Amino acid sequence: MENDKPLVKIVLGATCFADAKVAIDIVEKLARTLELKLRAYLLKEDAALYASALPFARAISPSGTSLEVSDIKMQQAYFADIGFYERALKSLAEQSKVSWTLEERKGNLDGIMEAATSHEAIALFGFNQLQKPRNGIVVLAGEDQDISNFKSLAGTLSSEMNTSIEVLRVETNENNASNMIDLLHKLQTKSPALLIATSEIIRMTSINALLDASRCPLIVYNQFEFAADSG
Amino acid sequence: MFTKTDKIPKSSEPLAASHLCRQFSLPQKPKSKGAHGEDKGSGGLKLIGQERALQAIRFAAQTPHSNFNLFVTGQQGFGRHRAVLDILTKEALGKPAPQDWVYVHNFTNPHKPVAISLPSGMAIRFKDAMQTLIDDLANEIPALFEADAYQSKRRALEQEFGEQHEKAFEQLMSDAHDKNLALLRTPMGFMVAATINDQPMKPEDFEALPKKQQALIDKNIRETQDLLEVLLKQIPKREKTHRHSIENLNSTVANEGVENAIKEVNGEFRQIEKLKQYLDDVKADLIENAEQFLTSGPGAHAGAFPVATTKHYSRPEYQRYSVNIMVSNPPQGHSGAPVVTENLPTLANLVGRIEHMSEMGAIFTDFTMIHPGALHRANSGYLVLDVLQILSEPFAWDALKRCLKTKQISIVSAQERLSLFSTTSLEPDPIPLDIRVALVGERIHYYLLSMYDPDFLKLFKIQADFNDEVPITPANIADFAEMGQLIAQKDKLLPLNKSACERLLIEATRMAEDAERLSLNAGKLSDIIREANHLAKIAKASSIDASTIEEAIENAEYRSSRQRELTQEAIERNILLVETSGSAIGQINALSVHQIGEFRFGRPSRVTARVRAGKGEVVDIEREVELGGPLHSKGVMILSAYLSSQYALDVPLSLWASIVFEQSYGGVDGDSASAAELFSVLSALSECPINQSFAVTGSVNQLGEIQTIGGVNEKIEGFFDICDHRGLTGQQGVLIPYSNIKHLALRPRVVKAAKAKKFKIIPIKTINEGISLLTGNTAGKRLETGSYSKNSINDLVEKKLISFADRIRSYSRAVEPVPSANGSKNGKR
Repeated sequence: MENDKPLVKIVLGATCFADAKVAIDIVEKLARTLELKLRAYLLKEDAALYASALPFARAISPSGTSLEVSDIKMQQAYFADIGFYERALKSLAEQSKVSWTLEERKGNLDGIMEAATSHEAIALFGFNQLQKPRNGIVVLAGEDQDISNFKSLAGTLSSEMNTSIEVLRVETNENNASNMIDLLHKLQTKSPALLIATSEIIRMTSINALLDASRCPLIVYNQFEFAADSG
Repeated sequence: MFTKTDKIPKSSEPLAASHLCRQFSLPQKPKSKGAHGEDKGSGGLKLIGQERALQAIRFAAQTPHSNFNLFVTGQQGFGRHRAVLDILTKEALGKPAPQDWVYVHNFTNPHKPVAISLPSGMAIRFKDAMQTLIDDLANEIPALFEADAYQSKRRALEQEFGEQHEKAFEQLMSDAHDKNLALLRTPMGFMVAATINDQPMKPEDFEALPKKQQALIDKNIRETQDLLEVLLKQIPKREKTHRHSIENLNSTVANEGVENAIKEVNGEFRQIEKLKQYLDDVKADLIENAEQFLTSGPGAHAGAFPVATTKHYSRPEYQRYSVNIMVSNPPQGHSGAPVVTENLPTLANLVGRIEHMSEMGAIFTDFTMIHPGALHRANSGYLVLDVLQILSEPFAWDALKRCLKTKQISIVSAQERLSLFSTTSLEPDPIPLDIRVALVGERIHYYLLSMYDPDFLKLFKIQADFNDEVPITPANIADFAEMGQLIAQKDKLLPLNKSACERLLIEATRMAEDAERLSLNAGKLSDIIREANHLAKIAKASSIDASTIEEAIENAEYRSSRQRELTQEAIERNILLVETSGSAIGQINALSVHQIGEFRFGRPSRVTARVRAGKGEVVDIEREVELGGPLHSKGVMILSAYLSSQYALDVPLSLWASIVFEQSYGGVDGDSASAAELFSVLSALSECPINQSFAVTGSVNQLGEIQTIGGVNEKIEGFFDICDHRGLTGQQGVLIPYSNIKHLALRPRVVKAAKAKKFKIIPIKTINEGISLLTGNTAGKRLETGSYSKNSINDLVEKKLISFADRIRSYSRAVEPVPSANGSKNGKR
């Protein structure tokens, strides 16, 4: 029966293990109904590396504690996180039918998105929320976009996460930037549990902008992901 | 009314047949039932001659003082249980119904469940009310929390909290963006990075900036970091405030729901003092844990039934609100006090028990697993127990005494007593105890407990001692006959006719071993009547008559008599040597009784005596080999003393005699053969042979008087059966103590033979009478000259003893040592 599950490719991106863990939890939920091929990345953002090299660099832990940062300390933290990441993926693969790879990657989150597009995969960006979300899954789609195909993904996650789905339609006219500002503002106050957006939406803004506004994990969905694939 | 010859029997003469078994003659029409106004037990059976015991039971049942518990003594089958239950049931009807008792959850200290007493009949109502309360809440609380009013308040709170956080974060992000800063998520936490045209600033670009601009960036970054730090630290505090406000809202809503639901229970039960506190505790707990009604909705478990009809109270999470009924009575005025009989008084059955359950390998328990014992059920009433059963159950006697002493029921398991149980257990509130315990046992139990248990007489102050037998009086005979009829009526048996009742009376005298008394063993009599009924029905008779009773008795004896027959067979085959004719010196037939189960039978045994000159020693061989009991030894010592004091008073008793029960390989006890043993010694001394046609039973005292013994009927029958089998000669018979005449209730076969002068039962009062009968020679009286009449048995015995003394004296002189010069003596042979 396991062979009957549709195969889905996912590219997972996170800038730290805390975010990656949230994404892995979502993958685990998906793996209950899907066969997954996972390409995971720990992203060493340029900005983080530059910032840590500055003389007054400091990091603030989620509990609000201030830590001194240096190049070496940051590298050590990345090294530790990739270890955690790997163990978490191994554990996931033991429990679910998931094949995976893990790489460290420099650059930014948009680079991960590009990798997803090139591999015809769903992009999943982890985000460790500081507070319990007040809303359920928010789906962002173009105004006339047919979302019936990926609504099943949202449905699966909604039932696994025991939460609701809300669909926000956005005018995808490239000239209308104010639409996007409104959308980001809306997301800032929404506090969703998970954001699912089509690649069409992403083209109008950036991954960072969406993550900063929604402050929740993000799935970017292309139309081809659920096409049958023998692997 | 009853017959017995008035002619006083003479000693040393065969008894007339009328003395061998008392006969009864009842009037044609028996008296109407209950004519004597005696107490009747349950089933209408009459208890004859037990007024003393019944009075004691009534007193114990009525007196309100503590520790006047009852100990009923008497033999089995005498109607003790019946009488106790009958009287206690009657007394209980006049007493108020006891209170109900329940155990409920202790919300402060869960391992100490709270015991609450309720008016009679209220426990079930209270339990139902609590179940209804939980069901109501399970339906109403979710409805309240789903209501728009609650949801909008809740949303408002969520919104308020979310907005606080979002606004602060939004502001931080916006300010950061304005200052060309970006907030980054790294493995070390959040970092603030400087940007140029929305791109991260490289360190070399930063270094290339003027110092003033560097300082500004540094300042901006520090400020943003400080703000972020403050913001992140505020999150837990804000969450806590938010949580409290949600809890307050929930509590307000739950309070409203609980208040409404509990109103009905309060209205009905709050007037009961101890329930006030409990209901307050329940209310507080329900409000505090109202979310349990939201998280444990019926879901799939509702099955085919609508949610509204689901029994929510049975769900494990609501267990603590349930009511465990320990004692429940019908509403007041319906029943009276309880009378409880516990046939298996184990510790748990007596004081109750706490069960445990295993879940996922762990053992646990709670107050709903407390089960009542007999003491709970009988509280405020009566508890009837069999003493042997309670004494044989580990810890049960100790627990009963502890409960009676402390006047409360504490549940302690045997495992706890032995410290074998280390898992979680409970310490339920002890329940106050007001009870009257009736122990039913035999006298030996009463005496042993009195002697060895210092608490016993303090706790069981009343003894009801059932008579084993009653004297034969016209009234007792009539009551006895009526009892027989009532037994038949109660068991729906054929009626007993007059002759059957008369035959039962004879059997009752035999059971009492006394022709002047009747045994009250209704159990044994019932068995005879039931067997006779069976035989009468086979014979298609319309009533039970004497012959059927006789047949029933014989059949019962036959079934039990295998051992008797084997013994008789061994005698007949000369394996056991017993003579029933001829004569022999120093040899006599003694009689003993054997009991196997309830069946007793007599058998003759050969006793022999051998004598020679000696130092006044009578050797009891049974004692030497430790086969003789103390009473047997006592008998031998008495006969030895008799010899010493009766004969050759001027010379030392220079006798060595040995006495033995031939072919006795088991123990011998009792002194009923001491007369026979003395006769054999006298025969051996006088060298006068004893007539072996006789057997002898009786004990002897130092004065030579023959004294009463037990089992006289079985002993006579035992010798008779041997003689009968070998052929009755008319010379055979048994010498019995004169005082045993009143105990005779011989079987018809013996009476018939005696009547036909084929067998003799001769009472004797003294040794002299006996030895005369046994040897055919006169015993002899001591004359004025100091000696016995010439050639009498006593004369011959005395002369033999004097001759022994002379021989000893001559021998002593012959071996007396010659005085030496220094005064010492040397032996000379």
